Amino acid sequence: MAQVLTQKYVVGADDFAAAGAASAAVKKTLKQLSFPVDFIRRTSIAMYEGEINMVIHGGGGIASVEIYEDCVKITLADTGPGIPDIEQAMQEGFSTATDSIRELGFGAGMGLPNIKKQSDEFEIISEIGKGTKLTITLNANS
Amino acid sequence: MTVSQLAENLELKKLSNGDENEINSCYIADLLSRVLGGCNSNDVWITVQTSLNMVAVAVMADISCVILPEGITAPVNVILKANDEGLPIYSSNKSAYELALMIGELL
Repeated sequence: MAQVLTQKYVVGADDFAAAGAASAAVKKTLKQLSFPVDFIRRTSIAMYEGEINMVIHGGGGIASVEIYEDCVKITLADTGPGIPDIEQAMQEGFSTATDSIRELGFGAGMGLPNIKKQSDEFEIISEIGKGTKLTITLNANS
Repeated sequence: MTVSQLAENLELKKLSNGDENEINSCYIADLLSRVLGGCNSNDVWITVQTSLNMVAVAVMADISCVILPEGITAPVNVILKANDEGLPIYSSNKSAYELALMIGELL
C-alpha cells in the first residue's frame, strides 16, 4: 500500500463561496490517478460534507488527504467549539445550523451520517472548546 | 438519453454550457445534504437552489444536469462556475412535478 500523494488544504470559516474547493481539488486528483468512478464519487461526497461542516461549525481548519494506491485517508481538523454530544450529532435530521445557513440549503442534519455512509473507516474525536478531528478512510475496492 | 436530448424534449432554457452527460434518472430536493445522500450519479437534479454550493454539490455527486423549475434563473457567478466545472444548468417555466412527469415519460 504505497503512498502516492499527500495534500493539505486550509479551509476558511464561513466562506461559503469557496466552500468545497478542497474537495473539488481532491476529486480532480483522483480522476487524474484513474481511480474508479464510484470510489471518486464516494470520496468527493464524504470530503465535501466534512469540509462544509468545518466551514459552518468548525471555524475553518485543515484538511489533510493521503492518497494510497488503493485507498484514501482524509483528516479534517478544526479548532472550533467542539461537539457536545457526538451520538446526537450522528443522528439523521439533527442539526444546529442557524436559519441563515439553512437558507443556503445546508442544515439538513445529514452531513455526518452521509460521511459515515460513504466511508469504510470513520472516527470522530471532539473536545469542547478545542475542536473536532474527523478521520475517514475509503477503500477503492470496497 | 443525453443532456441535450432531454433539454430539447423539455424545451429547456440553457443557462450554462456543460458536458454531454448521459441521464439515468431524476432527483428532486433542495436540502444539499439530502441530495448528497440520496441522489445517484447521472441523475437530473431539479432544485430551486441557485448558490455556488448547488454547483459544488452537483459536481461532487456526479449529477448530469441541473434544472431550475418555475422560471428560476441563476446568478452570473453561479453560471460562470458551472461553465468552469462543465455542469449544464437549465431553467424551465414548468414546475418540478411537471418536469418529473415528462422526464419519467422520456427515460
